[in-house]
Amino acid sequence: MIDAIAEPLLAVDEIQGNILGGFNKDHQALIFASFGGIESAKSWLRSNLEKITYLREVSAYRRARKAHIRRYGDEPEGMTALWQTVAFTFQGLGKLTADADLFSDMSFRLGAARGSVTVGDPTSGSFSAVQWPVGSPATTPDVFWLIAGDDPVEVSRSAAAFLEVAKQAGLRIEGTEYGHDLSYFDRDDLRKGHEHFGFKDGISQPAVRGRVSDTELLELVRQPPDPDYTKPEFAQPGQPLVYPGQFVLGYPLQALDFPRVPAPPDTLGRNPSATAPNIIGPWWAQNGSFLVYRRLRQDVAAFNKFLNDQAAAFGAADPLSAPSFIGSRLVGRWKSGAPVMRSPSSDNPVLGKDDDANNAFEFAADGNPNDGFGAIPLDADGKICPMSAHIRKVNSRDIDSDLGSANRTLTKRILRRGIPYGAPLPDGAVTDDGEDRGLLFLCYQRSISSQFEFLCGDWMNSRFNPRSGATSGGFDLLVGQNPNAPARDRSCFVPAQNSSVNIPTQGVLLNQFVNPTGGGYFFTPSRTALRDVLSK
Amino acid sequence: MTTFLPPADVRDFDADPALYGTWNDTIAQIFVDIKNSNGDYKGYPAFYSPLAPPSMIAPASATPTWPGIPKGLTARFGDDQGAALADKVIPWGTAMDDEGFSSKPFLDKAGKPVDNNGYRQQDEYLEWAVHRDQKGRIVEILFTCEGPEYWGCVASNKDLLLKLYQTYISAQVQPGDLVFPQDMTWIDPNDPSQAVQNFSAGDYNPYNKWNMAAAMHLTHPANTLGAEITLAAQSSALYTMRGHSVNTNPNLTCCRGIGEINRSSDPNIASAANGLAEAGNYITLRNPIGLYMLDINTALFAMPDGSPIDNFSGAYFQKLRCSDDKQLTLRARLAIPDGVLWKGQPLFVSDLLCNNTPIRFGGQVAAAITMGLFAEALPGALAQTRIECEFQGCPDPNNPNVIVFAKPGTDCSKNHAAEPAVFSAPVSSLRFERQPAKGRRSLIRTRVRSRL
Repeated sequence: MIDAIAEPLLAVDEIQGNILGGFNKDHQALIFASFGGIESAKSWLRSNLEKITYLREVSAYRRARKAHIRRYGDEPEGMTALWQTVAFTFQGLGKLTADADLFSDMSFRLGAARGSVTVGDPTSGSFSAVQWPVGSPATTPDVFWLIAGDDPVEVSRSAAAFLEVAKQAGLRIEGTEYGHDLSYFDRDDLRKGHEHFGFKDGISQPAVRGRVSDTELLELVRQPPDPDYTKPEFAQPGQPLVYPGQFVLGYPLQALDFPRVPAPPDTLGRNPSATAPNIIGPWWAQNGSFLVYRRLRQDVAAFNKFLNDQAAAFGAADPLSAPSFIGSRLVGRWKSGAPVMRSPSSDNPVLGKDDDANNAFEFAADGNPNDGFGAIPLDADGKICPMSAHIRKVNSRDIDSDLGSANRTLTKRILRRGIPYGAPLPDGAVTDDGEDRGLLFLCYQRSISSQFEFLCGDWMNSRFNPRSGATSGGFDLLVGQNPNAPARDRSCFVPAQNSSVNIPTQGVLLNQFVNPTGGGYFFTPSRTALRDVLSK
Repeated sequence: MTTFLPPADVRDFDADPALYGTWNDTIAQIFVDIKNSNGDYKGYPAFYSPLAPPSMIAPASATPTWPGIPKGLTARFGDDQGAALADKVIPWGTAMDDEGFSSKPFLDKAGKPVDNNGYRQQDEYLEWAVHRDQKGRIVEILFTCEGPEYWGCVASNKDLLLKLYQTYISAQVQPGDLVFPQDMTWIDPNDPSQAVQNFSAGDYNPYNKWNMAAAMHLTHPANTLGAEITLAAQSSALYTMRGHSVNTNPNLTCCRGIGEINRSSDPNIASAANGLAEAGNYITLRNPIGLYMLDINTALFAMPDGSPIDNFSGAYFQKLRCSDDKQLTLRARLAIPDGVLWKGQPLFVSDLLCNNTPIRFGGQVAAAITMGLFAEALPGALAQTRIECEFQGCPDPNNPNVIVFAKPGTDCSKNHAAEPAVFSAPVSSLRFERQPAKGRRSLIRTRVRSRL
């Protein structure tokens, strides 16, 4: 018997398929367009409604794929799909319907170019939002379309057809991006799922509570619940269950301090009223989700050079004198994805590949998952995984943050759906080839300001938060920014064997290795919203 | 170090160096009282004074931080309404403020209630006063995190007190403004013993009109340095509930009422300090003991059109009282720098955006301020007997974002009424009196919260 309160029934025919579950395809085309005439835009949208993929199909596909892997121990061949999703900026929604004005999230309303300041982007120079080819105030699109598939030829053919039809309908194409899993370029399977700095990406995603039918859970795998009710329940080890309202509007939210308790959903409505003054969107925003897009250019050579330079600061006897060791401390994982918490001294590719083990750790509770990879040490002070390590900055797991109990971190989780773009450089390269490469970052959440922008502005870009001490903490050196310092320099503590060494920035503009080159804040509407409101 | 230094090591007492000794005695007495107060539990064996560390090695540390907006308000009312309510001054004698806190009025010699202003409904050790012009536009917001104990110490030199008030608040401050005009009695709402406190005419009055108007120092009964030190001591003990260690929130603070359970500050400090204790450390607070504004998220602030503000944290958010290295801020002012215009017109703080919304309340800015203090730890603490928790936390059935007390083992998923927080362990009042220097009038008795 599934607890209906703990597992809300999800509208699988309404929620677009990239939000929960996610497309997770190796080849994706991202198209940004602006409407010409409104009638032709609506007609264009109507004619494309059937192309949109919803959760039912994605969920069934994932189940079938997992069943195959369980049965045969291997990825299925030939189980391919071509899926699509659509989303709109606040500006775009406003062209289609007047009650789009009921969206109250100011970050969404003002858009990613404004949000750029909040997340600490440079405000002048080539990476400032006003220079973005897509997403600057002058080039903010109305609509975002994504085509994802297993076959790159199919994706690009479909994108070309889409672009043609869109232009016929009077849409102006602001930009098109093609993302590919990095294994595509030199057929190097070792790169599968890795981003350009070489690290396996997207390992830790929250598990979402909910049922896809009366009797089937969205996330099938469940750990036995800890008898301590103040601890979350987990799907995979290390993957806490979060109420769907944190990602999809209209569903129960997480209570702040009690992870298994729901809080009432965000209020949606026709109009603010005395009884419901704080609506966050119109009634048709139900089953929708906010999407953040950031085009992040990565300077791989500069990153590698930074690691080499920093390693030289440590004595030869210190493991930190190895660039790969420092890299693991900035990220919190080795390149294979193995977390430093479970493999402190060196990478462990077998662990990195094992999805049942590579995320099975906490910081405050030692334990042994008995999965063959050993016991997990206690690391409340950040001696093994530094407080400033990227994965720890955005998710302090079972350690309390400045917001309060560790459970509050569950309200800050996001669903990441990004994909790299551009061909990779050889591993460890310190010479740039001038090519544009990086990450098409995408994430879904119920509130852009309290989730995505919060993670950037309040945690990654903070010297102190979520957690620090006199010799621990500091900025996220991987993706954090410091708009306050004139040179935008950041530093963090990486504990050496017996003392902490402060990795300084040596006056180098660290943002040289991740820079924003485009962005957008979108809303991903439900089927009903698309059919009955936006395309009417 | 051989003495307790003033918060942020400020040098007000250079004008009267005997006050350095008075301050040291004040804080030292807190440590003594804590040691003596723990009833059966023999004075918190893992807690030490930073002046008497158990070993001379460099200590480990933790810097618990929290946002300056009262969580008791945002959890109950949401961020926007919480920020609006936080600006309120609550008169003494109000039966229930918005956090459910109640207080009794000051009484005159005849036992009749007499006006003595009130307290700011801001209980994360950060308080502020919003100044508006006649059209309601905000011209400045003043922030303070200085405790009443320090200002009680300052007040033993009336000239120094006046000079500081005149420097930081207004040249118009008169000596008579800062003292009780008549004898009064009062019961500190946070004093478990509810003992009557006596104030004489001429004693320093922490709720004087200038402090109320311009936030010279903290006024909320929960915002005392003594409370923080007590909290650290309580967090140095180890706790258990029905066979399992308790060291995370919400249960850590609910366990024996270690601080106020619905605040941000107390639970965060408790969990950081208790984490150090769980690792087998002796713990304390770093000298100088204080709570500070450590940071402000400048990226949340923008000009009316959303453009970034040039030099926000230097020119707009001014540090008026802080450590020499400017890292620890005690007093700050948010105002438009002189000469800054916006499209040729005067600019007001209420024109600026905070998180994309015009600033209408001080609480919006407080939410962007990171508060913190510094806990220290030394290894080698002896094993402690774990103390059994008397309570656990459950979500309030009316609002799951609010924590209420419940008996250990309660199934929180079933609705239940909140338990009254009545603790069985001996409770002692940790009020203390700063000993007045010879020839000077005794001033304020400092109220310290304790729930042992």
